[in-house]
Amino acid sequence: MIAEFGQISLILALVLAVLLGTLPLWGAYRRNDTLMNLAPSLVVGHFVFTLAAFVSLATLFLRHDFTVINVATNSNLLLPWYYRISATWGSHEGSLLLWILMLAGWMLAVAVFSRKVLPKVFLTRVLSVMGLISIGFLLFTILTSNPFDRILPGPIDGQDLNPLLQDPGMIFHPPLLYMGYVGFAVAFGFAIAGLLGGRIERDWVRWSRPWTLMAWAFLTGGITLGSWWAYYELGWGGWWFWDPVENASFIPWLLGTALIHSQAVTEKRGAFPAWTVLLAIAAFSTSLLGTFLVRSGVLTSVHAFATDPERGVFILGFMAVVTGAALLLYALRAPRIMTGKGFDFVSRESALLLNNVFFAVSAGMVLLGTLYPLIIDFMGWGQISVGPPYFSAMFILLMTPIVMLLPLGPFTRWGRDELKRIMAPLLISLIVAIVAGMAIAAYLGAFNLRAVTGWIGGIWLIMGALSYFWRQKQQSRFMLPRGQLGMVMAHAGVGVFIIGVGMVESMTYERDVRFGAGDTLEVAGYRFHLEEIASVKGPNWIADEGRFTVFRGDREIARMQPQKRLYHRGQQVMTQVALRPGFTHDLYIAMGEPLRDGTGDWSIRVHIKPFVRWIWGGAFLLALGGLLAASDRRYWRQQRAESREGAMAEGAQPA
Amino acid sequence: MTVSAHRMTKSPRQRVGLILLALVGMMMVGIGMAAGNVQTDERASHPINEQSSQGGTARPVQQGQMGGMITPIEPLPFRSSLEERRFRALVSELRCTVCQNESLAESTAPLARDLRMEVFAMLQDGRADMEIRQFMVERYGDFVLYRPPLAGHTLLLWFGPILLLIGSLIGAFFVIKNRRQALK
Amino acid sequence: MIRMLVPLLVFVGLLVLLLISLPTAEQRRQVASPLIGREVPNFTLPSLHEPGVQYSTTDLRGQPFLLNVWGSWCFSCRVEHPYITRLGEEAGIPLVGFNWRDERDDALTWLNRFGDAWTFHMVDEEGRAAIDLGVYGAPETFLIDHRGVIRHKHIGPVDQAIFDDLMRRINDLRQEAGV
Repeated sequence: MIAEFGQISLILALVLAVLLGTLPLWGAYRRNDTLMNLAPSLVVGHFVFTLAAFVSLATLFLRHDFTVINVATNSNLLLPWYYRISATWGSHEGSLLLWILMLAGWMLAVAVFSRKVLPKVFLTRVLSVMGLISIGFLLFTILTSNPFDRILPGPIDGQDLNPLLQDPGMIFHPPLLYMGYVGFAVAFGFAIAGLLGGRIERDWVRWSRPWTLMAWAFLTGGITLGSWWAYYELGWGGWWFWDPVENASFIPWLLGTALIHSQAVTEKRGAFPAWTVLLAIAAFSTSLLGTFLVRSGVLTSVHAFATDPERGVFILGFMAVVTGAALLLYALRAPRIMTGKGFDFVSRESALLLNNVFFAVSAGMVLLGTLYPLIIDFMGWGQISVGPPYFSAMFILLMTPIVMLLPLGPFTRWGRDELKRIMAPLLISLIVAIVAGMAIAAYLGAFNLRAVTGWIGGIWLIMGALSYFWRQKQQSRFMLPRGQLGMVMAHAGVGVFIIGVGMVESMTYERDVRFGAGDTLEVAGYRFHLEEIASVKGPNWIADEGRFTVFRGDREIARMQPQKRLYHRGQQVMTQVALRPGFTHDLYIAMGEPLRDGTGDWSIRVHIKPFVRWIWGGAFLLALGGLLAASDRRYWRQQRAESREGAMAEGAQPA
Repeated sequence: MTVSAHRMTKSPRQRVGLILLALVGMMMVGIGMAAGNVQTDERASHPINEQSSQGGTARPVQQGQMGGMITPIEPLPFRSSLEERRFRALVSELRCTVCQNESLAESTAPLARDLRMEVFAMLQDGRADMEIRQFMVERYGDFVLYRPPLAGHTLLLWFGPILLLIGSLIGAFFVIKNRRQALK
Repeated sequence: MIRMLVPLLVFVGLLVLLLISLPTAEQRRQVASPLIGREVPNFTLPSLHEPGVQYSTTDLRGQPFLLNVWGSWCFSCRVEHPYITRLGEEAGIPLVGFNWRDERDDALTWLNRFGDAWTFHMVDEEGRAAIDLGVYGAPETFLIDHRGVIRHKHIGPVDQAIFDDLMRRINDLRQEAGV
């Protein structure tokens, strides 16, 4: 019964999405109030039915209803309840449903929070465009990937959820990531609504900024969680693999980063309006592209869903319609003249333009590298792999200049500025960074190119952000507005991140060691002592567990228990690493394989990862900074009348 | 990259030239860091000293500075930490053909193990990294290289982003030049 | 106007690339062997049935032959077994078994249970020769001509369609060799 209820809810949501995508849009075109007034209620209805469908699916998982194919293939009687809930979005079908729920949620949020701020015509257009997107995803779900399909009679027990996904990180990673992906649909909706209106107005850019920032912050958080999950779950100790699926999430992130910066210029100075619109379209379109890459099986990845080319064709068609229409509209409607105030070579505008060049080119590079095997295959030139060596080298090459210039950005004035004036308050930071960076690296015994550049660059960025904060605080009696605070936090976060990367990439200790019970490994002042290798049993798995006691000097500091698990269903083997996180380094033990020489010894991988937490710490600061900036009061005040006039006055200025 | 190097006559252009020069410099740092991927011996700067002992019978391994007694797995007795570093670099840049998308270093597939052993044997044999990669390519094709070779069909891959960057920077230069007019 | 159309054109190009690449996704999952058109690597391996006897790839010069990589641990090898048996009976050229990373006892039990239509089996317990052959999974089937050149490689289990295709290729090679 519940499955049928979910099914009907999904269909009703589709009906409402169709209504939302057509009637209010028509109303906005004809300036018909009655039709426009439908939009908010349709959005609420759409959300309610999507939620109902989602809750139904979660209930089916909780109740072990194995007559539903999706439940039977992704859950079983032994699966604990919390993983049964996360299994709801563990499969392709369920994750689509989550995606749609997120979209419905974003629409609801826009309808509620932007109601007072946005002119009705504009709000209506935004909601309708998002409704059109929802139609595509609902059709996709219902036609090709129905999570409520039944199998009668159902099996007595289900198969297992992929053990890799049976992990707390996996409960939060997809929802956050989708919040980001789907969040760009809001920026997209604003851009299209702006194009439909025929004129790029600075005020709609202001209205879309907090939404874009939020989406970007969620995406940052989602990617960070994914990286952290891969670090402890895959057992290789890596934090980024440049796998096609990771790249699929990274491309929209890079474009989103460019977008939040170009939005600032367009809002404040009216410059680059067309570019900002294009970036908004591109950020969401690459989110769709990511969906395609993950679900179509066109590329080989470790993380892909069970793939199906037929679904690929559907997403491709959907992408063609959404992005194609948007870009066509862009070609027809985007402002062709340069508007806004003028600026000189040394100016905030130029700085942000430079930022955009580097981020957009990086996005292009990641896209090119990800799809290059397809191009090669298409041209009949054989098969190649493009992997981490390519991406890392290229990315460092492209990012170094812009990251090194980053602290200068906030100090630069709009319009026209002098390099000397900008550098003056930063000189101390620069000197401190160089001296302290080298000193710290030397103190840590990490005097190699990567670690030293990591420290100098990182301290330079943190100091730069802090000195900006300090100067602003001195100049004003009030606290900085949240927008600026968020920026300071995010930029400092990049510094923290860089330090982490520089240290992890150059100073990681990693060794495969043979261990038998009673063996000891001494390294870096630690003593890893293996007491025994025991057999343990979990709710749906059995495991070999290494029981380590770790000493620092003579003091016992930790007991670490890495496991090699065998899950009952599907007989999948999983490595459960033991971690001792720390501010300056993680201890990391992963079980390898039992050795075949009959001694009962195991090969065990021991890592010491210096400053690895700083990678996620920095990324976390980025996300937090984004959220903080999004909460700036400036975006949420009613300012319809004044800003509209202001925008029109400036838009009319000669180019 | 030298968009305006030849026209450094006027002062604002000079400034642009300086900025671009700085950018080039930073990209050189970037190149240096990227090249750090193929760094050789950092033993001197490695702070982590290793000492290991085993409860049972001592098994001496030739491990350079560390009088260790634990054999690394699959027993891989490296003769030096340089050799071990070369091994790690090689197996992490070679793709495991049976796997979805994993390097030899990451994979637990039996074939990946065989290939790791092969790489190790060749290292012990004194073969150069290039030869070892060539060995793999002869048997499994360019597909096994995570770092695509620079050749006719990968020109776009390696130089495309750089060209795109240069083109975009030139474009940005003209945009700013255009916008300067509006200042007056 | 043209300038504003650039993003659309780039997008259309991307779309076409992805659309064309979709149907060939399965194909890309198989790594094409660079050994095709080259001479089969020379290796000598012991026989499965008589461990004392050594077989070498050069022994087979002068006639085309099939080389089938299998292992008792490999599920797909059981799937293709009926077709391999038919190849052994109908192909008219030697069908060499290449027993890869297996235990001798397991392999012999497996053959006893399912039938043995191979001409003989070489054993590659260590997997060294398999690396020279560019083997990366089982089953794989190589077709080698009378001059010792690898002419074709099939990755994955043989089914009816593959069987027919292999038979066609075998007949061509036999004509070439004049057998």
